[in-house]
Amino acid sequence: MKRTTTKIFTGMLAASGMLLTQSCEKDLPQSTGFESYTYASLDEDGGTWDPILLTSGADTAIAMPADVTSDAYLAEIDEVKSYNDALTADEQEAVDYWGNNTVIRWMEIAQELVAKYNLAPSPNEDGSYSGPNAANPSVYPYFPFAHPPYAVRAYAYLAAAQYDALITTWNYKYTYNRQAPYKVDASIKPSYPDNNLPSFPSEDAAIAEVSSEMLKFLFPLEVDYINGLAADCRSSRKWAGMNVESDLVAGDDIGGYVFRQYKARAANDSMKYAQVDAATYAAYETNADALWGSQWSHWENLEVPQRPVGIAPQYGKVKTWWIGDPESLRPGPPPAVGSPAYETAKNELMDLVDNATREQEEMAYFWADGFGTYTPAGHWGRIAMDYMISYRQNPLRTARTFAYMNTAMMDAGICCWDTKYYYMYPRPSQDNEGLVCLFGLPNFPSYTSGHSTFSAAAATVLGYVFPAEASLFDSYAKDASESRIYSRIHWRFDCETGVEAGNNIGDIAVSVAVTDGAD
Amino acid sequence: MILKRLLKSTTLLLVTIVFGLQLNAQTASDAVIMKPGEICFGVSYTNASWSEYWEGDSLRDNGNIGTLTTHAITGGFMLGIMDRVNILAMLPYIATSPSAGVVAGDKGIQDAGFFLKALILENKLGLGNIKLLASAGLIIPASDYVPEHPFAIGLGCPDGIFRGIVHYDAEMGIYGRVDAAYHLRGNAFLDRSYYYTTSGYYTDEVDMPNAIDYNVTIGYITNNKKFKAEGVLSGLNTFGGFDIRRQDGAFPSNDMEAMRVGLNADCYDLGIKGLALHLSSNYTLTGRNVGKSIMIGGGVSYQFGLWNPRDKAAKSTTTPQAK
Repeated sequence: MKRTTTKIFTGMLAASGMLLTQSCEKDLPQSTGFESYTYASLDEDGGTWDPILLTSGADTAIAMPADVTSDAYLAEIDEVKSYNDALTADEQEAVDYWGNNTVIRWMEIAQELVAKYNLAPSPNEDGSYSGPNAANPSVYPYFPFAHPPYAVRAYAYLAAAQYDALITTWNYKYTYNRQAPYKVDASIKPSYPDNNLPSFPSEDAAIAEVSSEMLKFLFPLEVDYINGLAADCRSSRKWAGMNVESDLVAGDDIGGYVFRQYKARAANDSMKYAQVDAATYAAYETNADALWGSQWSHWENLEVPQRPVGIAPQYGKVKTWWIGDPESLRPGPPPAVGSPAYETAKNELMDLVDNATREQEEMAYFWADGFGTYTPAGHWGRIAMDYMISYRQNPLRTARTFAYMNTAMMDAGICCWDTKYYYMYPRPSQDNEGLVCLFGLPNFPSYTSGHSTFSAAAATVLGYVFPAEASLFDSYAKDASESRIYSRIHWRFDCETGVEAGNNIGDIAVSVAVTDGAD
Repeated sequence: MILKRLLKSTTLLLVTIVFGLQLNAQTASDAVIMKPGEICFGVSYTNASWSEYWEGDSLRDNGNIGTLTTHAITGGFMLGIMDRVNILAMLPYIATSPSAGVVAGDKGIQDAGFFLKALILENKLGLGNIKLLASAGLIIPASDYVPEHPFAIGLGCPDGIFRGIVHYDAEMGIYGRVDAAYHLRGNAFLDRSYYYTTSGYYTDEVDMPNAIDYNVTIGYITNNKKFKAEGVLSGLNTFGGFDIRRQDGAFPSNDMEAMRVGLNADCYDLGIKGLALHLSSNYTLTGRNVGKSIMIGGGVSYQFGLWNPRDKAAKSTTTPQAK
């Protein structure tokens, strides 16, 4: 009998052990998976496209490189050859990780930093709150608090700067036409698919430089982390046989130049005034009371202890990319509290409190993109990556897609924030006993929905870039929007009006994109 | 006895709740083995609550949660399938409820547990009697609950639990027991495809840290075997996992640690043969990324012979107390 016992035990141990370790042993992906691929096009005329901020791809001068027969160049080739035959495991890992579209990797790094810094300040002992201080970022609460407006601005600056850096890079690639090391010396084996893209200046060095500088500017506590990544990205080009040192140096120069232009814009885009003190904030409350009369209470933060000021009340005054004055696009007012339209929306939410289906909840969590995540704008970046890869976009096209999508989303955010703090409309849970949510309420007014506005703008731009997928992107935007109703974070009219505004803003961005020379 | 086990399992679940996260069922941690053909059904209710939790190693309250109360009703059975071998199964229904804030609690069927438990050795030692037992089993989510719900009812992962138990019956009804289990956990799945722990992950799958839990028990049983009382010191430790950052929510793969003390009591003198009453409680002394909870619970069990073992001499014991 004892032996039977032992046998049963051994069997059970083995069975459950197998079941569990099968799933444990797999490494979970920390980046989007793509094998380096052959670009669908090289866009030889990319250097003539209109940049976002620069005047043209020739704004900064890049000197003619040494000829491929020169001693200086041959010495550089020798260096690449010295790596190429015997990559260490770490070098091979870097080559595989960065791949031949580093624009995507740098956007992932931005997403990770946003997620890391997307936490609201914890209350102090006495129930008050402190805010992050850009001048002293390492004192809690750390700078930045990467809430959705901060996040979308980070993505927009990163993407637009990458795009301008690549237009400049393309301009000089096809001005000087210096071929890649593996074209010059057939003994060098490229780690990525062969193509005819001139390698001077290096597109990946330009991206690494502009991206790392931008991210250090936006996330000042991450300097060491970002420097390490940039050095790894840059070196991997030599390990992969794609670039020689002078290709990289020219790329660095372009990246540095473009970053400085964007930094100057960022310093004066009014973001530093977006978060206001309680005294300034009082004017928003007074204005809302004047707008609505004393029929009902304007929006208030519902946390305990109450946060005295919402997130970024003056984000609506931040400099836009395409839409000009956001007030001109401000949607009309939401239904007054207590009106029939309000009651209809309230009944829908009250019903969802008890009767939301698991599918609706799943949609709510899938699109939640709340604290500790890359925010809705990051979610759309992630969606875009899948299509950039499946459509085999080259880095220039990838940067263009990100640039128009993220700048459109930032404009959408600015317009939405202007609307939010103009109407100061209450969240469903305010003054409605029992109207509980699936997760925590964001610290800004309800009308219109940020998720809806961001998502519709992004879907519109992506639908322009990938027309065959347009209806799919629209359905995603609708899901993102509806998900806020299922979680009882928003009224239906917040969402529907937000989608309308977002589509409108997306259309404005697309109207610029169609004239930039890329079509 | 199954009840006590059930109580304990949910206890462990409940006290580790931060925003609803819990540890998997502890099982079969006592020294009871029923004879073949004996079955014991049980149902229990436990109530665990906390108003403070450890964010990393820092104890705090949260005005948006207030006091989080977790109610659990667990049904299960234990069956003697052969000499020295029992099987156990259990299924809890759990509801969580915060006293403050705008976020709703969650409720639903949690993880089904299946265990095999065996008496490996039994010997005289000194003036008493020593027993060595082992149990192994699996708990798996039995419904599509959301492990990242702010007040989730479970961790959402399968957990293989392998436990060793040493039990010593001394004289005068005093007994002592030490047990420890290794938790081999499978991955949990979220409703979203990106999350951040200490770096970003592009997947809905979460690698869960394995864990150990242990209990040190000292008890007393009356001479007539009708009443029993015991004190327990228990602990839980994950291997790895990460701390909740300031003002962040809990996550299934957090580093979880807890040490708690508890009191249990059983009564087998209820006038009906095979019926027993079980009471259980505990309090969390220290922890990391768990709630500082207090738990009370109670339940009843009913044991009877389902079939007659071949060996007619092996009669049922109506009071399946630790011998």
